[in-house]
Amino acid sequence: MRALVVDDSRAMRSLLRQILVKLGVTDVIEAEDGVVAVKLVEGGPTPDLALVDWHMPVMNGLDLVVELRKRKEWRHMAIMMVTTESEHENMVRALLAGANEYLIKPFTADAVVEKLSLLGLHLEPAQVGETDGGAS
Amino acid sequence: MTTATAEDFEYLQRFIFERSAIVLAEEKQYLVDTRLLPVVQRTGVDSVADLVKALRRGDRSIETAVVDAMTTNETSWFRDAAPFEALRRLIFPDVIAQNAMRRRMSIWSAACSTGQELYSIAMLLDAEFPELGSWKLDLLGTDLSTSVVERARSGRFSSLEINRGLPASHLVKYFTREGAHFVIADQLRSKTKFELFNLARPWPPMADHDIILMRNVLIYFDIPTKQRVLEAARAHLRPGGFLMLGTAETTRGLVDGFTAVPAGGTTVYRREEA
Amino acid sequence: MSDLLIDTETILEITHTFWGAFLPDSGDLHPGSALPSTEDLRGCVRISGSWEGVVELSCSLAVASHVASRMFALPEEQLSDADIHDAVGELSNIVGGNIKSLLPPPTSLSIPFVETPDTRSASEEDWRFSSALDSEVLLAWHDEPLIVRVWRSQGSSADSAAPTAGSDGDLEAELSS
Repeated sequence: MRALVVDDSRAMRSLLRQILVKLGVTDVIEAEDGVVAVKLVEGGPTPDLALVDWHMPVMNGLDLVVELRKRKEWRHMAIMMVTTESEHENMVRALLAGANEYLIKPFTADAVVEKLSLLGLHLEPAQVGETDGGAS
Repeated sequence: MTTATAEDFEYLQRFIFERSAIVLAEEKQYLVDTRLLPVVQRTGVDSVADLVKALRRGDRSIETAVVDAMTTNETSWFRDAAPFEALRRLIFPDVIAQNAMRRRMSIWSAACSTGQELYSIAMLLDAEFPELGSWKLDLLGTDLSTSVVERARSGRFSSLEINRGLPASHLVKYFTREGAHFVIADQLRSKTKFELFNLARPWPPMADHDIILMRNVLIYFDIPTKQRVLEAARAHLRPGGFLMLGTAETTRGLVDGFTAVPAGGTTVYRREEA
Repeated sequence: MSDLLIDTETILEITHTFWGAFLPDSGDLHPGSALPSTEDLRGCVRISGSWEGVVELSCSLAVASHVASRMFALPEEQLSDADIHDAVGELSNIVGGNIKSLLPPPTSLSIPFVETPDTRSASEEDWRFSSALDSEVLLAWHDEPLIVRVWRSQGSSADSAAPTAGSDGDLEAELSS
């Protein structure tokens, strides 16, 4: 399974990558804004999952979702917003644009696992030991 | 001194690893008191240290409760998914058919905690069984702890709680943001009632229910208490009504009068005709 | 007016929430009297729209390194300055973003900008002179300071020192690099 992480913060991308790797998703590609993300998706096997921040330079997360949903061949890609943005109208806009799920920052690793489950991606933590599930 | 010692923690680490293969990491020590306090309350011992003493003595009834408390996640919405599949595919259609004339449904979430289970049921009904709009729905949630019941009543959740298993579509449809919290819609909240209730004490008079959820609470009780509680649950279920337990729990060997029915990837228990 | 919207209780709650979610094993963040110093790193996000101002998260290098170490899963000795600044920026993004959620819509959030003792310049000082300190929450982690300040812009908006998020609105589109 391939995952795309889009966030202008390297630290946040690193955190999300760690969570995904622990869940057995080792093919993780990263982008710092929407334009880079689109290029990445165009340039290789289509990711099964995209985790998308909202506030980014050049092209923000909402516009990226719109872009990603324009291509028929990418429709199977599950898109989850990962953002502080929680204004009702904006959450609705993201879902209407084609995002499948929405995760509010800050979040725990357990929350990510459960959201991925809602997306039909049932992943088990690869390593025993995280009884509390805090992102590490 | 009521808190667990480093020695207690070491014992717990070994104990939990032996039973669940889960490694309780060193830095989780602070968790011990927070997680085990509810177990202390439910089992009636005096302190976390006493709880560990009971474990050392080999008190089986406390063992499962401790493992569950130390290894389980916080309350999620639509927790474990399978029970809600069972409700959706078997239980609700069945009860709706049974109650077609009466047009009422009574659901009791015993050990409701901060309300996620009951509100999840309310959302499921609203979203997928709109024909029940004209029915009288009694959704009751009870728990042992006052603070938890009050929080459930408020229907107010933090963003950390809202992140836990709640489909985004339900988030936007049923919640409004108030400051740093999310509040469930009045239209759903008004169908629910939350009260204090101690399952282990004699039950006050109560009308019968169509569905009783008692998930992951029996593990706190010893066998005689489990039997009493299950018998009381059977007595308060309409014949043909359903009892729902936690994933690893069963009525077998504890109480008669139930038929195990596989549904949605789990097992539910239908109360047999009297 | 703003005090009703962004009370210190809520700021405390927001900061505790991210600390508990991302750094659950780190020990508590508690209300503290640890003194801020000019050596602190400051991550700022600008909020604009129906409310104008800046959320500033100020912390010591020790706090910043700890957070960065967790987020990058690297021992502190292996962190670069850029790593630490990025972590501080993201912290301020999360706290600022959650504070923005308390404000009446519509508002937009800028990309974070991080000030260090070395990079403070005249133009960056300017925005504070034209702002009023709305709220301040002093926290400490092992006696190291972590401070959240909410600054409200006074009068007409000064030059924005903050690069803004792409296409989030007409204003942002004009100002984005």
